[in-house]
Amino acid sequence: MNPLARKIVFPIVSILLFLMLWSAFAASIETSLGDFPSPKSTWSAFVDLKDEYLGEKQNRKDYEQRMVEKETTFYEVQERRRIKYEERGREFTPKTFTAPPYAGKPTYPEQIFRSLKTVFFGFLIATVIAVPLGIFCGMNEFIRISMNPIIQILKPVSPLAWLPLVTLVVSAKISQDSSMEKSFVISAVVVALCSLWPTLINTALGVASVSEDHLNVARVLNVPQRVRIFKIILPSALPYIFTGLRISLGIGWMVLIAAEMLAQNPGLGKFVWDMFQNGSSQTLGMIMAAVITIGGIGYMLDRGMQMLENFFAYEKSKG
Amino acid sequence: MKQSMLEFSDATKIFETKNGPFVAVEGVNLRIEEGEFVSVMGHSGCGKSTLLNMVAGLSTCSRGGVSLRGREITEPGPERMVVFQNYSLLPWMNVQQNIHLAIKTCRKDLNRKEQKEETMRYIEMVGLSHAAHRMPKEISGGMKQRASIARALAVQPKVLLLDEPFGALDALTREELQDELLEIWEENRATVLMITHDVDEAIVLSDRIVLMTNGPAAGIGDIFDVPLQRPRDRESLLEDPAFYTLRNQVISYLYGKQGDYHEGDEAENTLIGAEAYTSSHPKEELQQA
Repeated sequence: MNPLARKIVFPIVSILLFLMLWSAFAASIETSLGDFPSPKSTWSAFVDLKDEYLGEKQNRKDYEQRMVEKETTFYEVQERRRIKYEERGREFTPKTFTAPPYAGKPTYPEQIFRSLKTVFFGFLIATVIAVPLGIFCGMNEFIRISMNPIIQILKPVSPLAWLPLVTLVVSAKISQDSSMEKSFVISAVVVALCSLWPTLINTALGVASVSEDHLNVARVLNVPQRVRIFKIILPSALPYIFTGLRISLGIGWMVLIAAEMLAQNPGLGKFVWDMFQNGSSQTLGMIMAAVITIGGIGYMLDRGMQMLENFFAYEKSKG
Repeated sequence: MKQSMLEFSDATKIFETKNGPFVAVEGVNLRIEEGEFVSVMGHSGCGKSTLLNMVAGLSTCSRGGVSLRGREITEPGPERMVVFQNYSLLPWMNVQQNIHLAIKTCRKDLNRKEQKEETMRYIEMVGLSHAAHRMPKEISGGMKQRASIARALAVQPKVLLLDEPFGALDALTREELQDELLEIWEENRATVLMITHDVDEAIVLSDRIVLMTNGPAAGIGDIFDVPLQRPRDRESLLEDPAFYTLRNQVISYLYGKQGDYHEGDEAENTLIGAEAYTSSHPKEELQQA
């Protein structure tokens, strides 16, 4: 069998097998909300989500249409009033029309987008903290040894343990009228707290294992510290850093769902939670659809990071 | 008294190991004059690389010291540039960038444009113009070493340190590069300290050959002057009887007095002996220590 066929046929067979097992398994479990979602009901949940999205899109369009009409009327009325005012010689100050924001509920794609936005913001915070800190740890043995116990203790902490603390701190720091929503910041910070460790550890490892030969080149040439870090240490550590980032993003995505559930950030986590709370017979299928979506996106994030990782991994042959 | 370019005085290196102190090099006294090309030979583990690292400033003396024009060497610096055994080009930079990095850091007297021109000049000097934009992993060992030599020459060091520069190359490339190095050196006559395992290489290139005794506590065993006219070229050297006399002297020193070398038995036929010797390039264990 040629390798391409093997790459396609085997996964398809295994997926089919999995679906069959899932069907059989689903039929045999009854919950308080009806049967465990089968592949079929999950599929129909996806279809429902799509219809809901299209319906919502239509609603929004209608709303916008109405607003355009309202705007025209508004200005027509204002124009008439202006003419009247001028006839009587009174001063007239024109107003501008502002449409009230649309108050519909977020659609599934919007929730997905919200989750992605949150995870990337958290991931950004984690990276901005972990990479420089990792460089310090890697370059200086003293810092490395001092930091190690702290890193080892904080690393395994569950996002659920951080959440109450983060919620309190963020609530105290962010005022009501801030442009950023609390739930968004809380979720992102929890993601950052849980996902920065692999990047930190890998960066430190990468920096500490820069080839002695390359460092000797820097020493002999007497290059300034800035050049040493940016031209020699960082490029050499990049493959390690990207491996760390990839693991971090994976953890971040897992943590995000839990954080969103509890912080009520309107993303996939909240979607699952809301479905669980609303408890109709259709919700189990929806939850299963969310599970699959979460898995699929997690997979794509990982592949994306892997591509970046491969791009930056120069061949580690001696130069 | 005129100051020497390089002067080793009682240079000694002691490594602290788990099994107590290990004396790698002991009491080396040597003067190298400006414009001299000196080779250091000796069996593996005799501390040749340690000696070179002392000059480079990558290794400090435990006792005694090395001075450059009378000034004690305490740290690395571009006036003592090294051509490393394994090239040590930065793998994430192409040939041009590797050389430019050295020029940018060490030739501050030049403006940007001049630095660029200088980079191209050295790339051309070692015949790598066609490969200026290739990455180190994309070029052969010989080309890497050319780039590494260009980088070292580009900083215009007072002393050029060559650590078994051609050891990892095949015989043909090695000779080719030796000839090129010879040609470049004849033009600018830098002071060179070279470590080598190759007797022919030492004779063809150097003015003096320093032979080291076996470690531990290695020192200078003997020093041979190379009485060959400069400028030299390989073909006429190979017809010069003085070349063979010296070659035999060096080889018999290496296999005779230092007879405990395991391949010494084959040294009866000097030619075969020399081949066996040149073809072995074990890593300096001490350097790793």
